Amino acid sequence: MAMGQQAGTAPLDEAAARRAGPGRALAADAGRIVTCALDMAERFHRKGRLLTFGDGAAAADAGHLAVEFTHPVIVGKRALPAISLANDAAAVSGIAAASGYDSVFATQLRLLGRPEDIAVGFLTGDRCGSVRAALAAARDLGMLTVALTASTPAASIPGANPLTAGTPTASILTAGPLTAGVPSGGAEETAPGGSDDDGVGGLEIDHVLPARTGDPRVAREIHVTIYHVLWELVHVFYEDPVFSLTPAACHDDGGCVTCADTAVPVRVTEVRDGGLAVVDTGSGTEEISVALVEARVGDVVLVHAKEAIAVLGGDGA
Amino acid sequence: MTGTLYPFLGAGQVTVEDVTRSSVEKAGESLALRLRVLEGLGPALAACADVLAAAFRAGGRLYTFGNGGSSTDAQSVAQLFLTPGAGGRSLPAMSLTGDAALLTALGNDVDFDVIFARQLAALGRPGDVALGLSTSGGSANVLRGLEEARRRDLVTVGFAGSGGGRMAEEGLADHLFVIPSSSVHRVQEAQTTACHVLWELVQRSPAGA
Repeated sequence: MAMGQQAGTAPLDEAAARRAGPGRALAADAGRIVTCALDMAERFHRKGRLLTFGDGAAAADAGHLAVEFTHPVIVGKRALPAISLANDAAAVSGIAAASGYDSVFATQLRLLGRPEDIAVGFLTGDRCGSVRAALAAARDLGMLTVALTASTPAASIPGANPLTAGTPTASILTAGPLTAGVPSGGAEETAPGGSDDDGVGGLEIDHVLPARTGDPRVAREIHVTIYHVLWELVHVFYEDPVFSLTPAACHDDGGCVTCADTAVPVRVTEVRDGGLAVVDTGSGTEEISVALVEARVGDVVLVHAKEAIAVLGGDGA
Repeated sequence: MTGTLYPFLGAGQVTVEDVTRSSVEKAGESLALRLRVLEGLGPALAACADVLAAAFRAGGRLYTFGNGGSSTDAQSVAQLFLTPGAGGRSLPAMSLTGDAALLTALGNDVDFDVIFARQLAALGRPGDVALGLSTSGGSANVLRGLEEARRRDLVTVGFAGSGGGRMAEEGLADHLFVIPSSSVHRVQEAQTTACHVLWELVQRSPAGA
């Protein structure tokens, strides 16, 4: 409280200090953005589109991210198809009034989306039911799912409230890069082991791009940099002919369960120990993981990167 | 071509490691620019915050505007002042970029250059605040908006990039913040930080108590 009366540069120093740790943490997370961009470029090559969504200030970011792709700031860059689902007040309020606010993005996404599309949601607070529902729906549809996350709720972070901000917060840099590919989000200053506090709360997300701060303003700033870099990298991968988008060893037409970055429906023919199963892909059999689903012989499961992510139909379906 | 962004590409040499290294550098540049902006523009942001806090206390409204990505940044600034969440004071603010009926009517029937000026002429009152964002400092409709705001005795706040463009040359903003970068993306990132810190300082300002 005393800060409000304090003259001089102390509030500015504190504002700068609050941004240094998350900014450096972003550099450590660069690899996550790279792998996400690679997957997104592959989706655009398959005529997929980008669908973005978020609440509050993140609704504005959803619009910003989409326009980066549809109208590139760098002359000569190809326009890529992108839509923000947060822009249309008639659509958003209409769905909210009819089905509740949590449905506003999922409903649009189910109607407008296709399996080859990319869904990017901003999970920035503790009330992101609409974004969470849309990411879950996108996952069900077989889309590539991406979440930009923030850490713990703002209220618990010293400094996040400018009216009570005091000394600079402790560095958030203690956490190193997380294990790539694990959808664990922001296991950072308060929960290095991950937990429901990871920003995704148990959602299955292909790419989690975390802002490692609980200050919602600083998180937004990190998100802006993330999506700018993401846009650049998508173009690097999209345009460069030397960058192979499919593993050289597999010349399959995209049906290969291991290589294809697409969710493929297959039938379980044998359940094995250790969460594994043998499935019929239509052109042969492969062993996949069914650790995330309750799959039985005869079930049709949706497989992404050798992992069953949903059961589409029961016995003999 | 990718050459302008990634000079190492094009010879069949690109690797994930190269691209990752480049991204690490960009993240570093983004942070460095943000900190440089806070150091260089911080005192001016604090002075601007006191003026804004006093304007709000006197019943003023904040209007924000910009084009493209800056239009969404204008929306997020207005949203932050209006509904800041826990610990923040809600203040009257709106963006001039959200009303498709109005924007398409003015753009189609009159001229795109007037889309913000016309709204400010209709809504603005002396003592209100007009905040325009332009990465180039040269967006005609943003400049027209600031001109109209000044004519009507609003406080004018301008954010620009690189050299500040016409916004700087013509002195259209009472409080001008020029981000010293020629990259549109880095400018937008640093502008986001500057706007957030401006909001933080308004919230703390004794002038708003």
